[in-house]
Amino acid sequence: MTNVAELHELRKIYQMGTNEVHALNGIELSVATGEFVAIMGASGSGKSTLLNVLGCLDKPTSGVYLLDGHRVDQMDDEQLAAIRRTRLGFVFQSFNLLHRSTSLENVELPMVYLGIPRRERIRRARAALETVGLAQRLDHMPTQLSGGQQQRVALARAFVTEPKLLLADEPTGNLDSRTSAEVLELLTRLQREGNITMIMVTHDPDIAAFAHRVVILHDGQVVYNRPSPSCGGPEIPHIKTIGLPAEPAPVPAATQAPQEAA
Amino acid sequence: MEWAIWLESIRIAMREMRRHPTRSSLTMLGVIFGVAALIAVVSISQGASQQIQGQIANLGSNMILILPESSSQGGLRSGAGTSNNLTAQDGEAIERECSAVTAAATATRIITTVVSEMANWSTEVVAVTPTYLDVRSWPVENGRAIERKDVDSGAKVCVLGQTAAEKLFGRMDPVGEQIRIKGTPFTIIGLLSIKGQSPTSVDLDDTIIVPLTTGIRYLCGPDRPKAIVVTAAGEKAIAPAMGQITSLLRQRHQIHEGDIDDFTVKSLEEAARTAEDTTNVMTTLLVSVAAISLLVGGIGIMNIMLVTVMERTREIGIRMALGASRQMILSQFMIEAVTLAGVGGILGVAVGFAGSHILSYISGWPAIFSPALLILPLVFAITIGVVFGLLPARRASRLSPVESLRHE
Ligand SMILES: Nc1ncnc2c1ncn2[C@@H]1O[C@H](COP(=O)(O)OP(=O)(O)OP(=O)(O)O)[C@@H](O)[C@H]1O
Ligand SMILES: [Mg+2]
Repeated sequence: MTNVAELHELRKIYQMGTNEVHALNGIELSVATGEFVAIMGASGSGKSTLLNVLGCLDKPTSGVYLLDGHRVDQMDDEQLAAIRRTRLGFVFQSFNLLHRSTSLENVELPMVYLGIPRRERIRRARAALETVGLAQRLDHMPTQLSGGQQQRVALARAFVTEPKLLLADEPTGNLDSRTSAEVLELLTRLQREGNITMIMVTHDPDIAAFAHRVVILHDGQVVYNRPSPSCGGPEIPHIKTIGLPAEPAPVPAATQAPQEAA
Repeated sequence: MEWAIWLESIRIAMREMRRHPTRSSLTMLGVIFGVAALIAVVSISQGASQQIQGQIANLGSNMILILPESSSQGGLRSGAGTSNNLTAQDGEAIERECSAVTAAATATRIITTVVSEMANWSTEVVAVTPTYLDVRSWPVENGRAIERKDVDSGAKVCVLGQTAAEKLFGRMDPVGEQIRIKGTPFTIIGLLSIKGQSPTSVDLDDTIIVPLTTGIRYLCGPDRPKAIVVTAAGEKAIAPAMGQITSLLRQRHQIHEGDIDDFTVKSLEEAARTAEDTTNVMTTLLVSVAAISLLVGGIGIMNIMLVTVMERTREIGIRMALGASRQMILSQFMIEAVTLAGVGGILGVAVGFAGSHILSYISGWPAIFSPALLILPLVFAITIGVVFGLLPARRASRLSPVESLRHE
């Protein structure tokens, strides 16, 4: 199995009273081992929803999701939790550190749920924090750290369990451009060195250019799926132009009902 | 679930408690008070009940007491001195004719001043027939008891209780010494063993025993009311003995069918049972109050845990994203609730232990602690934690990861 994740006809429908919101509307996507995929798309196009489903935080309404060869779409909550702790890592836009725990404790946390003994947890958490350049900040609380430092703690936390698939939802969205570049560089380095598959949501074409492949969503569908310019692909099209009837796209988006209005 | 997760949950629980010291201690207060009250109530009432039972048993086992009925009804009865209607002959008849009775003794008592070579002492002097000390199960420690020959001959001899002996002779062995009771010299032939206190806190050892005949002749005269004490042939014989005594005495006193007795027959077991019932009612009442307080403590824990779950929704989402299953979240919050209840319980045991001693000191009742009394309330407290922690913990475990992560 060379694909870490495969999505087929994946749908996520939210019931809003009598209205149905098709947040994901038949997603087709495959991500190969070690690949770095950037997901772009307008606000409300379903990027976060897709990432939540990929991250087993949310269940799809229908469709197939194969993760590392497992039919994740048919799993119960208990199995999904097991998948999250053994195979997945997360980096969030708002860092999502436990704000009353130290850097070290935050990085230890995923290993707690893996049942790793404390001594080993601390050893590995230290090493991970050293890798992200925070060896001097082990006992700091998140509030005592800058935004960039907090996100680096989150990176250490995400990588410390050596996940199969790392999911990042706008990881630099809350950072200024310089810190953003530093964090991004660290993130891609860790991904490359660990040969970890990564799916990252971003609005920024310059950031998407770091990826191997660019996927663009529109109204819950994949409307663009090409190698990034750095990997010999074409220029990334402007998001605004994607999905409009004038633009030749793999899927005719015009057949979909407009959801933003709902 | 893995050991590491349990340890971690306990660590988190402890940390949460340290983080909110005021909140935690206020929450625990109900449990502390409940457990402490439970321990204090049970230990003191056990002590009181044991003391009363012990004192009653101490008066004599399987003992029946017959007292003259002093209030006669409007002079309907003939005969002089209605309060002097029990005689030594009645006692002998009871012992002879009632099959359920093993021994009966007749006694009368006066309070008077007694003089030794060393001291004066005002005490109780009991004039008795020879079986009296057997009925009271009261052996002599030194010398000998009053015997039949002393009663028959009206010998001027006496047996001292420990308190009376000490007051009259200090530490000296009184046996063989002389005392004067109402001017009459008596030779001390025996010293009784220690009896202790009666249920009404009377010092039973402050007494002097003399032969009934001698007492009547020199101390109180023949008209003094007398009581008869009886030993039944066993616990089961008490009720039949009381029946036999009543009909025998009615016959001897020529009481007609339908007229009321001129005496009262009481068993000490009855008194013991009444005392026991009274303490039981009190204990049940107080234990209920303590239990309700524990329950209220549990509701307090539930309330705080619900608030905690609300406040920490985001944290729960993060934990779930990092791989915590619903079961693990449930355990974490259960452990937090149980830790609150458990720590409250331990503090409650300490407070209850100390409080019982203080109460015991004030009331004079002993506080009795069994291991169960210290462990059971703790078990109750922890059970309360489990029961009232369940709802908040379930609520936490059922949160949706996505929504929790979005929670502010
Ligand atoms: N819990 C929900 N209930 C109802 N509708 C929802 C829910 N979550 C998302 N949606 C809808 O699904 C669609 C996709 O939302 P999603 O958050 O995935 O967008 P996004 O691409 O991440 O947007 P952004 O760039 O603003 O983060 C939107 O129309 C949104 O309103
Ligand atoms: Mg989003």
